[in-house]
Amino acid sequence: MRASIAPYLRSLWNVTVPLHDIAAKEVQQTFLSTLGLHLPSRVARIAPDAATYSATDVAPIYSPDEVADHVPTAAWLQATSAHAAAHMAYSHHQFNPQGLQPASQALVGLLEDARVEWLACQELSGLHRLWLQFHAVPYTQPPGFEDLMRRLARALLDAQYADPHPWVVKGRALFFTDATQSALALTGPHALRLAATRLGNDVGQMRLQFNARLYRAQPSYRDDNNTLWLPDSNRADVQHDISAQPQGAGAQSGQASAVLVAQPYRYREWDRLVPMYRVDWATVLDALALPATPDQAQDPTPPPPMRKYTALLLPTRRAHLPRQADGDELDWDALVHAQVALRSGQAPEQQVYRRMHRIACAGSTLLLLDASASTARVLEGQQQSMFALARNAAWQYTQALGEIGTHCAIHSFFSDGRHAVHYQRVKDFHAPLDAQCWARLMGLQSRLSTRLGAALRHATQLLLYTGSAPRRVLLLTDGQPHDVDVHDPRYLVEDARHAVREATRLGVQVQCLCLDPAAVPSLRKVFGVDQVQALPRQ
Amino acid sequence: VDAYRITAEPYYQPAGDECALFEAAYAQRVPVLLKGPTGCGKTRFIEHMAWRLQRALITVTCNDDTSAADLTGRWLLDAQGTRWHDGPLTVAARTGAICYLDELLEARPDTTVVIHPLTDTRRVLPLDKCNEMVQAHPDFLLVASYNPSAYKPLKPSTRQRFCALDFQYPHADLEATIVAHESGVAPTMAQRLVALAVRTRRLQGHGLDEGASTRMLVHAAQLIAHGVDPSAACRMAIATPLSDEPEVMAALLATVDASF
Repeated sequence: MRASIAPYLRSLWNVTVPLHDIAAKEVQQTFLSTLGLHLPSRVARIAPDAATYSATDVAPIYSPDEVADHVPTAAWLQATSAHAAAHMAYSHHQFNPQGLQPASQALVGLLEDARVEWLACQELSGLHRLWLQFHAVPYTQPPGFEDLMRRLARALLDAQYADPHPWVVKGRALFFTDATQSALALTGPHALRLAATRLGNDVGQMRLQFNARLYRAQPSYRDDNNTLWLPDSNRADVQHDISAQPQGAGAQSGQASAVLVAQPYRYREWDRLVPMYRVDWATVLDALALPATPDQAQDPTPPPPMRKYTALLLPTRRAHLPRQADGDELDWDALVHAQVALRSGQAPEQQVYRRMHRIACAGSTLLLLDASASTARVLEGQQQSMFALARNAAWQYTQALGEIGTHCAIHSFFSDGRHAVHYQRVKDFHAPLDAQCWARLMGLQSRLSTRLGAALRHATQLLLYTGSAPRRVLLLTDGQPHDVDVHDPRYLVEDARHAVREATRLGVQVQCLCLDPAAVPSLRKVFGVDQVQALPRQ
Repeated sequence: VDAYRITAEPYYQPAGDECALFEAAYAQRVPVLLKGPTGCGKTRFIEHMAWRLQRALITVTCNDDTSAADLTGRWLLDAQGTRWHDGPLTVAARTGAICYLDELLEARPDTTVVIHPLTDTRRVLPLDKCNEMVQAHPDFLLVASYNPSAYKPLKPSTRQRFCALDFQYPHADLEATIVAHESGVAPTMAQRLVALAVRTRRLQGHGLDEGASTRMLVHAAQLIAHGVDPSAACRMAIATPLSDEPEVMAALLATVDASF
């Protein structure tokens, strides 16, 4: 449900705000901060239906079950996020708390909450129903200050609600110009502050107790209104300790450059939390790979083509198969020939149908090698590192595909934060597969991290501009993407999933050959079930 | 070809000077490309213009299986032997109709090449299978439509043969007028539907390829005019068809609930 909150707020008021989960279970109230909207993982249970209560009912006593905390429901999440977004859409003034009693400060929050909700309901009438279900009101006798606050909150939202308490009646009269609640009497922030002060003074005269430190805005879906106040104000209520999600920590330099002069390309990146694309976020540095140096261990003889494997991952396209014995529709040419044969006294052919089929075709394939540090591992039972196996497989596969007319390119990538996704070209589509390619392939080394989405986007663009259709990226990787400046394990996975989806929409098929069989299930979530296979042992 | 004539005026509310521009293009017989998102009124526009120009309108809805023979024609069998059957493009070229290729991008790229000789100064349609060169009728005009957000590029060699009109969703007041006219709902309800459509269009590129189209709004409004509850009508006609992604659909359903 939480994943739907971001598109929900965008559609309501075009609000884009990063969403954060509050890990601490004791913090059960939504709050806004400079980092975004923070949603609690637990909330106190609320009374189910406000409509069942009225001023004449016997005062309901909350049972322990009703106040026990629980995971927020979908409706609660919608209510709390819509309320916070209403603040972002309509609350444009920050109040100075100086000169305001704590009770009046709470009332400023209540009146501002009611004001933004009233404005929101004028635009989106269904929100009234959404919020009202949480406005249960307790009729304790005599009522405390917080009881009266809840009753006033209900009265300001619900024109049908009748409350005889003079303070609630006065609050309503200060807030609206008429009994039908069709127009606001509060013309601006000053008027709102004045109304809160007057109601706060009445609370003082009624000798009602108010503990600002324990006070929480009610109903539970309402946020703590921290953003309504000037930043440096000395307020009585709780200040949140927010910890920033480190993003874009910047590239760490120091690693030896393995590329020639690199051409930078900027690509967008999908941020799953917002969720939206971050424009020009990742920089891909594209260059020809350097050949292996004499001190690098280099296998002098390239392996033979892997023909057996070609059939397994051969690129395909949809095509009509003519002259079939059965099929989806008639093959008109075959029919004509059949009639001609009949009329000339010959036995006609029976294959007069045609059907759609996937057939193998040449096209172009870009083999993309994940050269991150993790591929330097040697799996159990293997003599070579995963990366050495991948290099050999890429060579063999390119040879075999070249024999059937497929244009192949071999490229490799590793990353060092979003500012430096190193993309190394070993062989381009129309370059010969020669000793220089082999030397460049052997010159590749495992290092640093895996920013997969940016590399995939760059490979897709290269395929679109230089490759012939059908186009395909074949990625050889050992597992999930990872980078030094991303601490959310799902961030790069989701970005990669979007990159795959974008490529597919552009007509580029993305397949994955997994170097570590254990990582196949997780990679299938990125590439699709049918698009991932493990690299065979032999 | 009279069967393809439009007798009653199709309702069309101009958003700008597109009618005058199209008439000018027709006067010069310049092929016209209609670009725009799905359900924004491209097909209704061409119907309206065909009626206004008193020309027959032959529509071909392209798909990825549309072949050149589907446009030009093919040999068929009958009791006497084989017989050539003109395709819709050939019929239009012979009779001087407007041939409207709807969703041109959906057709295979090799199929679209068949229109090239018709769209330059030659104005001919070569039928190699029956060894004939069809000279287009003086009144013939080729019109094609496509949705640029379909992630498929149109070949430059095809693109540069047309002049183009860009269609977008009408502004809110005009769209509400259209929805009210097409469905019979009250103008206030039409405005609320348009406000909902604007909200869904904010999700374009953020989970949705396209927001709710004017056509979707008309569908929802027709359900409402039939007596369906507005919220249920919008769930059925707008939120549910728009997306299969669970999160996006949940957001759309919540937006519908918030709107009514």
